Amino acid sequence: MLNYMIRDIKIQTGYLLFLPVLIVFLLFMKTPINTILAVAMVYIPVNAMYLLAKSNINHFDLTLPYSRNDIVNYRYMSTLLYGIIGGALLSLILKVFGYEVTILDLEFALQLTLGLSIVFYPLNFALNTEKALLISIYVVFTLFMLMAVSFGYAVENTQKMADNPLTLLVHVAFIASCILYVVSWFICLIIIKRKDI
Amino acid sequence: MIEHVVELKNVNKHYKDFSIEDLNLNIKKGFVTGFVGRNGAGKSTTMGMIMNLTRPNSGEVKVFGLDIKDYETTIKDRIGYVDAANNYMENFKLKDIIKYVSRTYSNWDEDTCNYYIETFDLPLNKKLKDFSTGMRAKASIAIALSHHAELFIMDEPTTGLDPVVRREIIDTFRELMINEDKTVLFSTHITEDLEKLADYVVMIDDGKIILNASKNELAENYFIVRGNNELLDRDTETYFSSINKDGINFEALTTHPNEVENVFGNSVVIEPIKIDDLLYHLKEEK
Repeated sequence: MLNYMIRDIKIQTGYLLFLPVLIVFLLFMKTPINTILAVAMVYIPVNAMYLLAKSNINHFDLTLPYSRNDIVNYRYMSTLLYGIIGGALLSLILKVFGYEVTILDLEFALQLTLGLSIVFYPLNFALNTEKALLISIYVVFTLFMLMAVSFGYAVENTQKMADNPLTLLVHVAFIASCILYVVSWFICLIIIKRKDI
Repeated sequence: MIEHVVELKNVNKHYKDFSIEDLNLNIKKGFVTGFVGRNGAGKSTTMGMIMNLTRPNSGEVKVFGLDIKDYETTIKDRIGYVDAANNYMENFKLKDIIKYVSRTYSNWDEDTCNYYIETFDLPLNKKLKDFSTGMRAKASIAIALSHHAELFIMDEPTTGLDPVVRREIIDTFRELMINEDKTVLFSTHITEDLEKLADYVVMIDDGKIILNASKNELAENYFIVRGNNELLDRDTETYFSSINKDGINFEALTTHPNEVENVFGNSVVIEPIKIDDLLYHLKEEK
């Protein structure tokens, strides 16, 4: 897997130089910390998939001693790793610069990362990367809008169950996104088993 | 002792407008097998199924006696694969591609890799997208040769290459086959490469194998006959499996050269067949 991750980093060295600039810009625009963390977590895997897809990389990997399952497993495991490492690293840097980063922020950010992956990866393995990215953005945006509409209703109703409904909702959503991430992983394993690469 | 390195049994693959049906193919160990056919005949699909790049709808694909579905990584560790496309990881430098690939094979040999990089005069610090077609092919082959593979599967490795580079590649594999117990399966349109390298020839057309024979068998059993059209009638045409007539002369395929000689004598020319001619006539015969 380390080999795989080194390749992901190597293909986007130029783009990685842009990441700090993007984060500074988002901080300047007073973007919520959890959203900035999500951008940092999702940046490497999504860029890697997009850039590598142009090189027909799944086809190439399958000519090497990799199995179809390996390709999916590496992608899901590495996304988690990028998320955790990226989030932890950025949190430390933000804390050094005096920004407040809570566990809830990290949870929310990882949720967004998992949420995008849940939609993007199965579509990417089933279709081509450009279509998958486009559809994923629409789906995630729609879900986000639905969440925003239903959030007030959810907060009101969970107030009866918990003192801090927002925290509870974030925890519940995080657990749900973890479960869906695993489901998405299995779906991708099924897709790649049947597909001509 | 495995006699056949690759075995395809009753393999079926269906697309919208093309099918491979009930394909049975064995590739002999220790020999070079050339795989020929026109565009869209099923060569790449067949090679894709051997590499598990393409999933057959039914049937069995075994390599080294193992099912490709169940032992994919074990099998591929022993295969050197070369693809005419050669456009993988284009934005990487050759040295980075080599580093990446070398970590995937258990038998990677850095010295062998360096030898072929030097022999083929390949620049390590250049991105693959800046390589010429010939250099890309050579880079692919250098990588395929660097991990002591037992089986080489090459999908049109010399397509689009100039004669000098083609010759270099063919000579590399000829040398390899003399010294070592390897197996090569390569698909090609270039019958000259088959003549120089292949021990066996397999021809596929419309998803079906229409020829599978050694070059010796071809030389012993297939002959081209050339003569004047006036020599042909309903009876004499029965000696030929395929006839091509122009305004004055004919060219025909026969597997009965002695009978043809008895019937026509010196009025026809009988020659051992070239693979080009055989492929043409076998297609006509179909």
